[in-house]
Amino acid sequence: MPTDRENKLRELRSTLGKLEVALGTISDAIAWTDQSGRIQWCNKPFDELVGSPHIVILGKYLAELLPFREHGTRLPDKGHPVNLILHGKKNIDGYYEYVRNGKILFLEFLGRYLEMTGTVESAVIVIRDITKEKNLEQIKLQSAALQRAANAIVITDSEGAVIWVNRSFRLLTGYRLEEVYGRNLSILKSGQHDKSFYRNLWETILAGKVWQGETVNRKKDESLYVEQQTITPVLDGDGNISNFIAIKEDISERKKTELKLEEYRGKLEQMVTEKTRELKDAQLELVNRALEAGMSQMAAIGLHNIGNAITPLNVLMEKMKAGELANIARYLQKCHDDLKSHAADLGQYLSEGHRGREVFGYMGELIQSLDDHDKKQFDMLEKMESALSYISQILTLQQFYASGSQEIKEQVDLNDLLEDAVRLQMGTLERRGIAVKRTFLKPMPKLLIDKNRLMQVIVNLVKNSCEAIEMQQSDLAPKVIELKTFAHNDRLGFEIVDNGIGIDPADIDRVLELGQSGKGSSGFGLYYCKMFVENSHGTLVFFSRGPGKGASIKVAFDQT
Amino acid sequence: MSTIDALKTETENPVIIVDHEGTVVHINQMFEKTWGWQKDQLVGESLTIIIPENLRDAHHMGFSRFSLTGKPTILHQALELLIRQADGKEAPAEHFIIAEKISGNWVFGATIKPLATNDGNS
Repeated sequence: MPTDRENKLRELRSTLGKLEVALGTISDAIAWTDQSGRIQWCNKPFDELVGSPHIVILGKYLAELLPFREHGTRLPDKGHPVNLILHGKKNIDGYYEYVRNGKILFLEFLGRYLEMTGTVESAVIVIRDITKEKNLEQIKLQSAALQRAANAIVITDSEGAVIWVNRSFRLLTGYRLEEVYGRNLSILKSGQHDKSFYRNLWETILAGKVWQGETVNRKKDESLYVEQQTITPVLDGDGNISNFIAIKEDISERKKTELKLEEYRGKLEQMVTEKTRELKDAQLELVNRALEAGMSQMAAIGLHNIGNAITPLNVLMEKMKAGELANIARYLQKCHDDLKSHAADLGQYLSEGHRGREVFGYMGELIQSLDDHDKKQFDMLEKMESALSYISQILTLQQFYASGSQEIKEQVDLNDLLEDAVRLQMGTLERRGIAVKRTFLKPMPKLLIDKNRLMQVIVNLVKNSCEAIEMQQSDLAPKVIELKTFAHNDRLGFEIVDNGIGIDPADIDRVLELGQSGKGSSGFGLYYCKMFVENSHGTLVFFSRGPGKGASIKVAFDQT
Repeated sequence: MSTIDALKTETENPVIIVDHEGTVVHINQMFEKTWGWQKDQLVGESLTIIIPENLRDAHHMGFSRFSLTGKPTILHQALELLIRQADGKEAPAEHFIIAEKISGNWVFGATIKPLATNDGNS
């Protein structure tokens, strides 16, 4: 007869045996640990979750066997829920990630803290692998997104038979899934495309490539529409096409808009052409008017300067007219008369007469006078020649302006232009050992002007400065030309400063007159420069603090 | 001769034999020599005495299930498991457990050979 103890033991064994069988058949992984976190028992799903033989798992630390991650970050052992349960003496439920064979599993974790009198503390845990549910959730979400997408989406099998469409497909085509399920999308054909169009489409997608294009299709209500379509083949694990996904966008409206736009663009182009022609005509008109205005202005300036040049000519001629030759002639006549009246006693008259004695003196003075006169005459003729030469220059200038008066204005960066001018003069500058200092305003506003002529002006001015420096004839001071650009108060321009020979401030106005120069050259250049600048609504100011003290030329234009 | 009978005559390896209820019925001299247990300490006692505390739950559950279903999971294979020595220390050992029905009841026999470790303790 079995003893009472043996019976109880048998009962317990039976219960435990059933328990282990039961716990081994459910899908949740179950384990419990001792107070240090070592596994005392686990069921088969737990063995499978860990991926180790049962016998190996027993006695091992659960946190080491089953390391958890949260949002991709591995938890430290002390942060493992099993240890939190045992140290905190509390229950813990949560979701964790666990990587097995490179795959991330999502685990639902339920942990219970157990402490029974007379027994050790224990953590009993139940783990459910919810990876599939999680993925399913993801799929549900993606499927919801596809369902609600604004573009029509069609999924077909590898033969092109429809297996799914979204809501936008119904809205686009008017067909419900049940109407198109298992059918080919050729039901949408409008007849607007030839066979080669579809052949190309199928060849592309059957080659595993994405096809994109515009298609005119027919809706269920027979109306036509234009769609932008992308068909993407989906490959299975073996690389064979398993499905096609077509994404369609109704671009009928866009097409209409494009057509309208195209039409509008055409009109615009036409308008622009017309306007351009009108503008060109107007411009030509303006150019002509400006030309006339410019020329009349030029003519006025020219006349003024010619007048200036003629005045000394008149004076000289008056001088020559009222000249001393008449006096000399009068003296000579007097002498002649005196000598004639004393022809009989010429010897006595010349030696004794009080006037006769002076005749030789007169003669001497007359010779001197004639000599002086000759010199003056020569001087005056020279001046006249010079004045005539100025007039000739004015006329040349006038001619130059008249012939080249079709100015080509463009936006000019003065910094660049000055730099170009320096480059042109580089040879001269280097030969003479003249340094160029630049004080440029940056950024420099652009100036609308005839670039080539302004370039001539700058080259001229730089050349003048070089000459002025050369004439200073001092090897002691460093030879420097400073180029500055400025823009303020709606005016912009440049300044060229040299430490050359300079000029007396009193003579400054004069150097800008035609034919005058502080440097002994023709002075024509400076005059031309001033004229160009003033004709371009600018000012040219020459400044010097005196001989030997250098000079500066400041050129400024209205910014507009 | 049954395998359990063979174990009973085994002298080279430590041998222990347990009845269907988990009570020790036999140990050999090698077992005494190896693990420090005396016959009178073990025979008639529950097998759990030589099982480390941490493994007792698993033993109870597994033993009970086998008794109920007869389906083995750990038999007839070399297992590395800790054994509780007479001095209370736990030592790694290679277990080879067999089961045999004798007169309608399961009888379990095992050779439990020591495994070398750093300090003979785990």
